[in-house]
Amino acid sequence: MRVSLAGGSQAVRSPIGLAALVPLVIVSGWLGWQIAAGTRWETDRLNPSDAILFRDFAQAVRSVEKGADPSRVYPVSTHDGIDPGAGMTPLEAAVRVEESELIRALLHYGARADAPERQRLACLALSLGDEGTVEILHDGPIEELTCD
Amino acid sequence: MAAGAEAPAADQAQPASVWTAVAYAVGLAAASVVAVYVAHIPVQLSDSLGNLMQIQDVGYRELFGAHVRNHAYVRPMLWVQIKAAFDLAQGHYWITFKAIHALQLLATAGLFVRLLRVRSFSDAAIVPLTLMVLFGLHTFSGTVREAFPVNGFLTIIVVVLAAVNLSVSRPHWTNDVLAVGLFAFGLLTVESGLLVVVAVVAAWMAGLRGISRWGVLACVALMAGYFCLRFGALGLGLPGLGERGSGYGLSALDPDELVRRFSANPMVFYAYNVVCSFLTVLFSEPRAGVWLFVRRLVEQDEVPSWMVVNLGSSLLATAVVARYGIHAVRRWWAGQSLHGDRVAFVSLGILTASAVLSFGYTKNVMMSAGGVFFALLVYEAVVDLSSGFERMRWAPRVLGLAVVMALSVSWSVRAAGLPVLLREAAFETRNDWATVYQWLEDQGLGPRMPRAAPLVEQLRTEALDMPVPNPNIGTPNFYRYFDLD
Repeated sequence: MRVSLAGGSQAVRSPIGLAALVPLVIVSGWLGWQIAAGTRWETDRLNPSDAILFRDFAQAVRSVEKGADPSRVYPVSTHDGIDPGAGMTPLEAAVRVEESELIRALLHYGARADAPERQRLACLALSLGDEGTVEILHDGPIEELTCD
Repeated sequence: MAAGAEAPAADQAQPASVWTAVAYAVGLAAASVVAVYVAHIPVQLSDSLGNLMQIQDVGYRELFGAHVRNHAYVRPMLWVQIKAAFDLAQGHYWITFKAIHALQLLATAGLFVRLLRVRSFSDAAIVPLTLMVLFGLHTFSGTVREAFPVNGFLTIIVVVLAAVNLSVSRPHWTNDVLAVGLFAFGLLTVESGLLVVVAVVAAWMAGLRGISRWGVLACVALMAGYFCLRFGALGLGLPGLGERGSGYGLSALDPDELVRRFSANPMVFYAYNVVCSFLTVLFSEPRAGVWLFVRRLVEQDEVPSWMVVNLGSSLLATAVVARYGIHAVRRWWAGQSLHGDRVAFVSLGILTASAVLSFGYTKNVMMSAGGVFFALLVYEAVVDLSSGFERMRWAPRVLGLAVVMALSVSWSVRAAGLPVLLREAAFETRNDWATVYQWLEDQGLGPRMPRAAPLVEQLRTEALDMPVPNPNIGTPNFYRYFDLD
């Protein structure tokens, strides 16, 4: 295959080529730098409840598997529509993000809630329209659930 | 370029230059960047784990035979590829599956750049823009965000690109053999493999003689044999109307609704799907059969920034391609078609055939091959604009420069959204694995668990241990310009 080394002065005679190349290099270079700089390839270290509120269910489950107490109240950050207050359990966090599969997983890993707490969380799920979660937390038909 | 007329000797390939190497380097670098982000996506749960559990204890012959007789989707080679990847992995699933995906991406980039025939700086300068169109189109993202062990649609892109490359190569009997082999392989992988015969026939019609007349006839005969076997001897049909949901008008319809509306006259729905599939590549609207932008206007809702970027960039690209189309037709009429015009003809054929094959239902990734060849059309269009620049008056020159700069900026933004989209896909896929055992229960896959338990637990552990940034924390404002749907 013959290879030619021509082309040095072609840049000047290719305004369309420059018009295609220069803005692209600038824009994609800047965007690429911003995206790469914001890509931290490590898992953020959040407690299980905060991880769930930030929708990082994998981190929450991994933390519990590695020994974090799934029944403990953890401090949480401020999220839209959620008052962090004195913190919350992973179970409550899962109810607030309406993830019934995650609730089942937490219960499987030993998350405990007494009867009043389960009723409170079931009522919270009902107020959010998450009937799937209500069925997990409340024994009996949804119609029999009494909420304040 | 009369139908079937061979390309004239004057239109033969110029020798490769340093700019050819630069083009390949840029293409492979771009594919590598995408591959890095793909590598951080854990193996997908849905449409993936169930398949892996199925193939564990099945032999290749049994697997092939079972899927040749599938009523709706005849994809035996896809299952064979999945099993081959699984057996090759020898327990190292993530690294093997990602290595396969990365090789497919590099092959796509390499085969695509070869078709561009870059020989000068002015050609090479347009390659980055072309790659932005290739990777930035919404039809491409499905080939990388869906983390299957083997992505069937990306396989078809590689196969079709390879077939077109054979067509533009010097004639040789091995090209014929490879073309038939590629067609058989592609056709039995995904039904979109029919695009190979479209590419081969279109290339022959355009005067490209890399594959001989006999090779083309062999592919056509193979296609005829496939149809006779599928619809005749085996009595297999096509996916039914109620097989899955699809977009129609301003909303998505579930299977029952589709059957209710179109069972009396399914051709209306099929025609709609073909038209929408074609338009989605040209204008990024509609999306999966749903007219999202129109719906926003009708409902007097705010149009998101990413939608403006998508529509604007696609309108500009299609306008430039349309301008080129007029010039190409003029050259063809005068018997002066260039090599690029012939390749553009093939690209248009593949784009159109992709849309026709999408008649059953609309899904962005089904137009992935069509989108790749649309990027090729954009390249030829901008090259055509560049070659005619010196002969233009000053006003068209200014307009041409402005259009190309706008193309450059808008497609840079679109393509920059792909890594962000892949990061989000990685996060979602990782989350799916957190509740895999509950998911398996809900899918009724529990009975297969004892044998599959080590596989499930290994994939789950690899997924949960994957370092993936949380897209819900600290999202920059400029992400609103990215199509992350």
